[in-house]
Amino acid sequence: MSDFNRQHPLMIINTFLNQLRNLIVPFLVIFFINFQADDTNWRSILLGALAILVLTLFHGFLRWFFYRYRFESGTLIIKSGIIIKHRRTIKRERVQTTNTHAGPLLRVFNLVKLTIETAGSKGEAEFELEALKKAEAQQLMDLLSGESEETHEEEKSDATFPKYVFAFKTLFIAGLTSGGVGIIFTLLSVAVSQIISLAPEVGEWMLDTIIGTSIILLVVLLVVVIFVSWVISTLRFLVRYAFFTIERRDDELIIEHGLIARKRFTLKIYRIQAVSVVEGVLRQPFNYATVELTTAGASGYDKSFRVIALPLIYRQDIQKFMRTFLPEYNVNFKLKSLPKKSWRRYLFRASVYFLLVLPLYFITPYAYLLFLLLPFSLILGHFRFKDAGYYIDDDVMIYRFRYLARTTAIVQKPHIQSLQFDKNPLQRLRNLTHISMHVMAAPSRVTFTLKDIDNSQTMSLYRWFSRQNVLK
Amino acid sequence: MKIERPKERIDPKALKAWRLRGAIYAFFEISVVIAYFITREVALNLPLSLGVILAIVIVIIIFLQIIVIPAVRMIYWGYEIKDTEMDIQHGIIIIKRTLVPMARIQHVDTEHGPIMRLFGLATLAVSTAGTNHKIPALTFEKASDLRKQIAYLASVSDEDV
Repeated sequence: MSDFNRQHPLMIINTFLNQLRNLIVPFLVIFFINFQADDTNWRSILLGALAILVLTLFHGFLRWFFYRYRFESGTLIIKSGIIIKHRRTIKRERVQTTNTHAGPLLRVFNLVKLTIETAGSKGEAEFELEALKKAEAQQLMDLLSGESEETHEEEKSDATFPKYVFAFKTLFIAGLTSGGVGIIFTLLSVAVSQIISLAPEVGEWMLDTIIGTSIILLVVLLVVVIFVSWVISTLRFLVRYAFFTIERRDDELIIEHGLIARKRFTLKIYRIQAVSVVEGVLRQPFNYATVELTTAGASGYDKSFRVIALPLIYRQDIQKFMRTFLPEYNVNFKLKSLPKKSWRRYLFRASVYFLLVLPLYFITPYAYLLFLLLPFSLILGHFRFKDAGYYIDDDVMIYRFRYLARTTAIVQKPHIQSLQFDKNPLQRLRNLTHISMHVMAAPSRVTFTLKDIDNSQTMSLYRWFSRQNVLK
Repeated sequence: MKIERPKERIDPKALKAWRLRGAIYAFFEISVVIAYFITREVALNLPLSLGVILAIVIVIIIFLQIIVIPAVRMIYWGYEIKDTEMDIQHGIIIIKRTLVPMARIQHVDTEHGPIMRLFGLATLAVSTAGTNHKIPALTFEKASDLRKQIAYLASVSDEDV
């Protein structure tokens, strides 16, 4: 019993604050109900609120008191629960990634939150230790990643590991081209439309103003809004990815970033399922790209299970960087492109939406304005065709495709869970196939699809993936 | 050159099972039409034309799901269990061909749904880390043989990852 550790007592405050956040709404409801009543006994309400606060704090204390962990012979044991006792064990081999995260409060006390992710179904895959001293967290991470404690000591002493800290300027450019402008712009627009719907007078006033003003002023206003969105999105990016550091240590990649909340990820190389080189629309013209990793169990990081490995890099430098940090993944741009006959299908797919909105033309005369977008979608379709391609090596498959950003995904054969070939009747006529590869990204999967490739190419991919042919 | 279709076929009794399932769905679909006309009769002033269109659409759907779809599905269903991988083909309009390496298979189960069980059939379900694959309509013996075979093949073909 005694050799189980507790976390830092700050966990009590943390739990308390989290609970408090959940209590705000009920508190407000009670407050407003009583506010409207005439004979409110404020004294008893305040006493009640105080009692709830004290109980919450006490609950936080109990939770801290019963939340204990220890590491023994390759296994982390976490015991928790006040009334219902939980005991969870995590074997070192099952650990996918370990992350630390430090919010403002934790940083003041030099503490971190440690998240341990294992492959497994949702909810059971994550383990959290909410408030640990930095050294304790590091020790646990080492224990969970190292082969054994003795060898780890040796490793620490000799080798120097490749490490790269991204300069502020690079991150600034990355932020400018991050494409977050669109998101912030949408948010601002939504906010404005909400204000109008909540307070129609404001909306009317705005409409009057808009009609009353010159077109030049409107354009200026639009430019200002876009500029503000741009500044906000760049700042957000900078805060999130400030002091971005990547380090390769034996079979691990360590990524650290963040200004206010500092995040640290430890990824085992063999847990990486796919490496993607993403060239955003704003970045590609300047020859910039981002390198992202798909891992089985980085769900806490991003909804898309992606970890940014290199926030911004020149296209020419990608291979150099990959050789240093991920020599297992050789980026190659000698791709086979798609047959000419797919070109039409790509153009059609990109612009088919215009047929779907056709009924709109009967409703509003302004719908023809939508047709101004047609050339853009045709151009997009053309580039999707031009950029699509694949490359196969002994053990590596590279897919390149474009939605908006051009993405080059590199996957090792053992990481492909299944390969799927789809043909619709029209494709059967033209000897074309859609090819999808499914890659694990716990708790779900990521699918990379290459559309309309020629049947002869399908054959070579089938042969490449089929283990049966290797045996023959 | 073409990739040969997988050699094994699913049990022909699948056709009957799918048709029965189609007929059960048809029962619910017909009741939608009946409900429409009852409502029209009793309370609301619903247009007759809409009811007729609804009825025609549902007749077409029933025809497709009982007669056409099971037959087409039967034509395309095929599978093959090789030493190192499973090869599955199925589809109605879009034909899907899937290769699942034995080394990636994590679970293999047999399932017995009520309709399939009526015809003495079972479904083989295979899952990898992230994808699920099913082979329906296998006789009980065939399904459990395949389950054992796949479980064995999956355990021996553990590749280094």
